[in-house]
Amino acid sequence: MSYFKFIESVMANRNIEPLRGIKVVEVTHFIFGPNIGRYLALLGAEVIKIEPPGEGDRFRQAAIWGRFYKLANPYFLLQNTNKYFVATDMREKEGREILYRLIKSADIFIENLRAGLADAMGIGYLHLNRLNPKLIYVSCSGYGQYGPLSRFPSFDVAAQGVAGIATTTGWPDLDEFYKLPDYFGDYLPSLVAATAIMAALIYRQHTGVGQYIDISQAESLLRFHYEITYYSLTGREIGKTGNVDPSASPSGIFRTADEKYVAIAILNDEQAKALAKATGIEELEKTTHLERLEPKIIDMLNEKLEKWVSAKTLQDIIEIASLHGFPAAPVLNDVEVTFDKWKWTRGTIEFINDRLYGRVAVVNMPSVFSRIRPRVKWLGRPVGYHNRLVLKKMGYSWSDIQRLIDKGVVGYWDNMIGAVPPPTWDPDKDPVFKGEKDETDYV
Amino acid sequence: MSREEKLQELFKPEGKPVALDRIKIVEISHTNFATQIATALLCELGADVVKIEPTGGDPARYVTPYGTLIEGVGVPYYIENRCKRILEMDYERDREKLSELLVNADILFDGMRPGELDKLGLGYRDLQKLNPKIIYVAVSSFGHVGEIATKYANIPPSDLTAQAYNGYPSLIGNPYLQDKRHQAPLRAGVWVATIMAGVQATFAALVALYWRELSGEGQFIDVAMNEVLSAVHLVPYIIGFFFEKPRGKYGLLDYILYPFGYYKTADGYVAIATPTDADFRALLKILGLWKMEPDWRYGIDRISDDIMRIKELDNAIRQTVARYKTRDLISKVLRHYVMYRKVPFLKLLERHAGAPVVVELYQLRRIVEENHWHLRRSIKLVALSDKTVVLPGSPFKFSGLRTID
Repeated sequence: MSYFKFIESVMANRNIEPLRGIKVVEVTHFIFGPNIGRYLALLGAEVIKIEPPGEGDRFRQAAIWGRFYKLANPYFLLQNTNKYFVATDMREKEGREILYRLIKSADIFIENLRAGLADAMGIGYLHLNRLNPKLIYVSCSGYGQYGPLSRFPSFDVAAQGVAGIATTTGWPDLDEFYKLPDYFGDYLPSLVAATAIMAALIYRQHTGVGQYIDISQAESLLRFHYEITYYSLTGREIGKTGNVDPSASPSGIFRTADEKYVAIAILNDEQAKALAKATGIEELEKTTHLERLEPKIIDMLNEKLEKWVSAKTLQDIIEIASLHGFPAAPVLNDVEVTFDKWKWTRGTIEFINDRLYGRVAVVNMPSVFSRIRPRVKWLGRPVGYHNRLVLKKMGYSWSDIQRLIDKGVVGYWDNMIGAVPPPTWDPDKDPVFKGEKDETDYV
Repeated sequence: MSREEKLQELFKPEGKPVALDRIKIVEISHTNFATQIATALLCELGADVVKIEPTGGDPARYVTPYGTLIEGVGVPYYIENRCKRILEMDYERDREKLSELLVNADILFDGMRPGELDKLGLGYRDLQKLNPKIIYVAVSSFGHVGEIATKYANIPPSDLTAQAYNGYPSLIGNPYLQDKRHQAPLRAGVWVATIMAGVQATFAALVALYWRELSGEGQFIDVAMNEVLSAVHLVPYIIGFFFEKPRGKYGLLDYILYPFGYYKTADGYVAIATPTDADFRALLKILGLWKMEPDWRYGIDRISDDIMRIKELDNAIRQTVARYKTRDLISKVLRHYVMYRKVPFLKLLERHAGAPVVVELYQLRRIVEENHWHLRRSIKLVALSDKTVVLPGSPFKFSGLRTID
């Protein structure tokens, strides 16, 4: 059997949800906090997202280009898959009572409020730890929970700016910088936090000890900002280099004969030899990688490569790269990224039939396991949608639940788009909304 | 004790255990830096990491900006391998020894060309027979599974090509620029695709380790650099599926919020974001642009797929911000929200009681000097044989665990 056939056969038996039985509570908004809960929920954890009644998480209104889908924000729906939505006000004593009761049997708590706010609200680590010493409590913020900058305001772009990442992207001949798009400053720290949670869970398996975890956007970015070390060594800043990766030579994004773009970056002598063979650029063979990293040589090689690329079609170049073995890839756009068959066969993107929103393409976690199967089961829900279900599962009686609803302790959506159910939805015909059935009964 | 003091005390690392004590990790990665990042993070969490290199050293040692070396190796290599044990081996001649190392690993990270270890008889096919509990993490361009993975197995990964395949350079830049050169795709200046794939691989490995502790089962994990960045970001797929129209460059603007980006001041740059409408209105008030408020009042007014429409607002804000010195602008913003904190009832009367996020873009020198990062051990000064350099600390901060960096 070929190696690839063997690996395919290994992948035939994927059905494990490793975090089944793990209970997560999150008081989160926007991306950084919610993405951690999403990752854990994809692996089978039960994640309860607590929002303030009314408009809920303000990210519900942050629709791309201001466009909504069945009165919901599609970005919010995909950012908060597999979660249970409870709406109660943490600033009210009775709202906090519900949280405290949840925390007693929870494994993980996630918050991404402004640093210090959770403490001020009575839901900080020092408070919740007393209720459940085995709890893994995660605080997410721009600059960390302590230290002189901790109270600074933050947001993706702000953290990129303070971490000095901002000044690395741009054209060398222009005086402007570009942010890293698509909220890299939120998504990277969310994965760092999810990794820290797994380490804390593994440690807890052996010791039974809980943990307070403090993850900062700027610190996660600084961890990989190699230019700071470079600067401390040389006294120089690299700044904007356009499409040249100063660690790879030649390197750049070049225009092909069929007016498309291809990225090529050479990281070592073996790849340089392969490119030399393909292009006939002799200098590639006569030099070492370190020699080729001289700025003048990078420019010279890039010029020659640009010329070679301009006479070939994109597909030709990819086939040549595959034949000889050097890094090359087309520059894709959103539509090409989405409808690339390769990712559909990996299950990174797939269709689900959601009970409320119908057939929708959803994004899964980008790794394929041979035993574990991360799964998108349902999309985000309106504000307070699972109030009855979650309270019932917690042991509240139907009359207690009705009393909490009547008193406004737990609430629902207001009339804001993004917070409300789809237009044709009928509460009387929805057993999950009524708390009689679970989302998991339908998937 | 104040909250600040309590937390500083709580997070002191001294005398604490590590999370991944006695976990044995083996890495073999060539110039695949996502793999090196993944094992570096596990090393920070206390795992014992052995990195295997060919005799004479890995070519990864020389992948470094403009050839700059630190203790004889490149900057990325130094940072990502500082806590590993490096073993040089001839993969053919030392096969026995190599095999023994791999078989006894809890987690093996394979960053080589797909199938290459298998050719040596050291792929998952052989290892899982000898050690069914092994967790085998493969990191490559197109993965180890399926038709495309087979077809393009020979294309090695790099950050730039992975950025391209994830669609990132299509988004970066200023759409208003006229010069044709500046309309080309533009790369991100840091290794975004490598970093995200590296952290994803670390996470996946720990999920598998957690499951192994429960069940005793090992497994194979396939991470493909050409898909991680965009899949973690979600946005490209939402655009592709719900809108069926690529975004193109939107660089200085954003898709869900305005303003959300960098602005030039009289003496530097600031990042500005206004998460809510009240924050935006506060920004207009602070900048003396209140007369524009009626036209741009709501979030939805300020977001459009028509970039020419929003240009008017963007120009007004850019021109006004450019008149301020960075420090003056930031202190004006601070004064604004301190006022509302002191006199809370004003919030009920006025519609511009918000807190826009305005921060300075730090130059590298400012970062190195910033006490906050040193206090938190986010960066540290390390004396090497001939120089003192700044190195990053671990991004993981635990109350009950220590990290190694």
